Amino acid sequence: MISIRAHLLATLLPAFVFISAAASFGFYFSTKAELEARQDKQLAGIAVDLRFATPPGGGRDGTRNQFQEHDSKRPREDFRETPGRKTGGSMRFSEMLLTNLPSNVYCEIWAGDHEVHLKTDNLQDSSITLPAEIGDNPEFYDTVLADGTPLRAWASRLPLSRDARRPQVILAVSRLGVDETLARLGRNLVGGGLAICLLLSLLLIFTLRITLRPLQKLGEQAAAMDAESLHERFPEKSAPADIRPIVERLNSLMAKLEESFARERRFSGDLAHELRTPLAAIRTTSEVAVKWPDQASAEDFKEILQIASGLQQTLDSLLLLARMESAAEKQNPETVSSAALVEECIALHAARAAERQIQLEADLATGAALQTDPRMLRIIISNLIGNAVEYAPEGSTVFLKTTGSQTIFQCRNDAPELSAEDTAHLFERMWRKDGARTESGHAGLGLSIARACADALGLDLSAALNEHRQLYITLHS
Amino acid sequence: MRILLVEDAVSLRRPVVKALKASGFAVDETGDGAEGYWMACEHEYDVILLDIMLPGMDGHEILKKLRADGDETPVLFLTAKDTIEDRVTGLRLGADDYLVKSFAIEELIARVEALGRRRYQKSTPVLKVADLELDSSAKRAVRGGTELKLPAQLFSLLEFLMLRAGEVVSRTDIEKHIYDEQANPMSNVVDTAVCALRRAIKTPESDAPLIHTRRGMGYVISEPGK
Repeated sequence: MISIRAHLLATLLPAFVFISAAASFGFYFSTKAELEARQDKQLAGIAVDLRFATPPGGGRDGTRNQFQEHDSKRPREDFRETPGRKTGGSMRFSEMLLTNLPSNVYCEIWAGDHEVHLKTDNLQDSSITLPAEIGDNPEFYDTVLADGTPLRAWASRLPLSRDARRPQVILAVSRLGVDETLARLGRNLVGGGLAICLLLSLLLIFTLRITLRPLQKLGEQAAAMDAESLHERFPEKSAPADIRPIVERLNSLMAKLEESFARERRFSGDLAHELRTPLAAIRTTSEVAVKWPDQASAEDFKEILQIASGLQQTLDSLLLLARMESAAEKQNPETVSSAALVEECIALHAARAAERQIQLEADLATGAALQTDPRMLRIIISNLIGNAVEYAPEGSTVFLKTTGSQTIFQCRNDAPELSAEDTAHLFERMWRKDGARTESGHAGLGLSIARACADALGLDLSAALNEHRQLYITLHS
Repeated sequence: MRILLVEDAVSLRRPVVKALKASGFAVDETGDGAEGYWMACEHEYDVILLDIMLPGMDGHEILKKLRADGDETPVLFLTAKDTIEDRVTGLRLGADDYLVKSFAIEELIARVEALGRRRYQKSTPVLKVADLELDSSAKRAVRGGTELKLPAQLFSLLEFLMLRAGEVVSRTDIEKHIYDEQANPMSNVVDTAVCALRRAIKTPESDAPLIHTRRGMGYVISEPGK
């Protein structure tokens, strides 16, 4: 599984490289275009000068010819006539043109179709390569001299009305300076680009490490969590806002898990007590009887029988609870009269109620009927009445009620020892107010079984304690 | 040795008390934590057996209070709680041993004896004074090769004296450790028991007196002439 950091690095690094490369290319080519444009502008400027140059004897507008003014700029010796070429009046004019050119400019002039060829001295024996066709519109192009000097060239025909043969003029400047500048720029851009990419990568790695540290820390903490560290919580205050909802949710889940583990641990401890103590009693009583027969009596056997019956009852309850909780019990819905069922259950607990001088007072809606599994409903009602008869103070009254409305059954009894917090634990398996779990013949499974049956029937069983310390346990549809 | 058993399950407490008494221990018992703590403070016990889940005051609390009071009586937890966490909690509070229900009664008695010996800094169950040997584990006393037939209470008295061989043991000490709350012994009962013990440890082969009276102080068991 790829990490977020690796994923971000794999995405952002190539993006940085691409952006750097694109920016470098853009800068390089824009600079190149700029430098070439500058050279083209220079060549075009010279060409303009040539166009406005007037023939010998005066300009078109009668003013003094600009070439005449600059006759001294380039001595006549700077111009060389190609051997074997004819010269004429127009040739002299062209020569005049050449004398006014800056020294770094190469120039070739062709009069007619390759009849006259003049060129600046700096060309020596070389010639500037001509483009395929030269028209009235000037053409810019790159070329190379025979000695390898790169040139930027301008070619056009001079628009001179008197010169019928329209000399072709080629102007060129060396590209060496531009090419060197571009090569240096290219090197700088490649080096700088690589350095920027490296720096950005380091910055990215560092930033990701810092930014993702809380997430990494959270992951490490979560990985270190086990059943023994459920009391620990992830720090919420120091968590970045982006992951705070996750941290809060995790903490809430941890709290629930801790509560659930505590409940299970309590149940295991209680179960161990409920099973081990009677087992230890049976074992010890038997061992004493075997080792010291003179100490044994019929009372011991009676005791063993009683303990074994209690154990049997606890195990039966546990099995019933397990069956109910796993919803393995199949329901057989019938039309059931809740009032008749309550009367039946009252009869079951009448003896114990009489023993504890508990008055059972019933307010039953005789016409009330519902469609449910009568066996499971009987388990619920019987356990609720049994619980009330067992734990209500001796001599008190237990009120039982059925209605035709949503409240199917309600049991109310005095519970002076219970607190409001205890009602949350009432339906937990093996929960007993008496933490010492003194021998009483009850394992604390009755209400859990009732809740499991209610859940299986899709009913709601809840408990509440009023201000007079009366416990209400209500079965709702 | 005198033992205190604090266990709320009557069905278990009864046979354990029977077994301990049959093994020669003086046993006081209660099912209430608070009462158990009070008894531990009031009497001098050689070993205390404590359940953890108790009404009134739980076993951990009793032990914590006893240790805070400076009472170093060996305590053995007798409980249904068997997780490592429970054991560690008990031992860290100062318990000396831990036995999970259900247990073999022989094991409980052996552990109680071991704790009792530890109280008197004895690591072996065999105690020896001159040619008299007492194996507190096998409950056997032998003098000069002859096995002595001692009733449980005389055996306990001999064991108590031999555990403190060479030391003068007062009548009050003997009363405290040999007789439980129910016995309520009179002072001459101790003298009578010591007298009976002197006779019981005499054999035809070896009849040199080992138990000596220190007038106004008590008794001491030591080699003849010392």
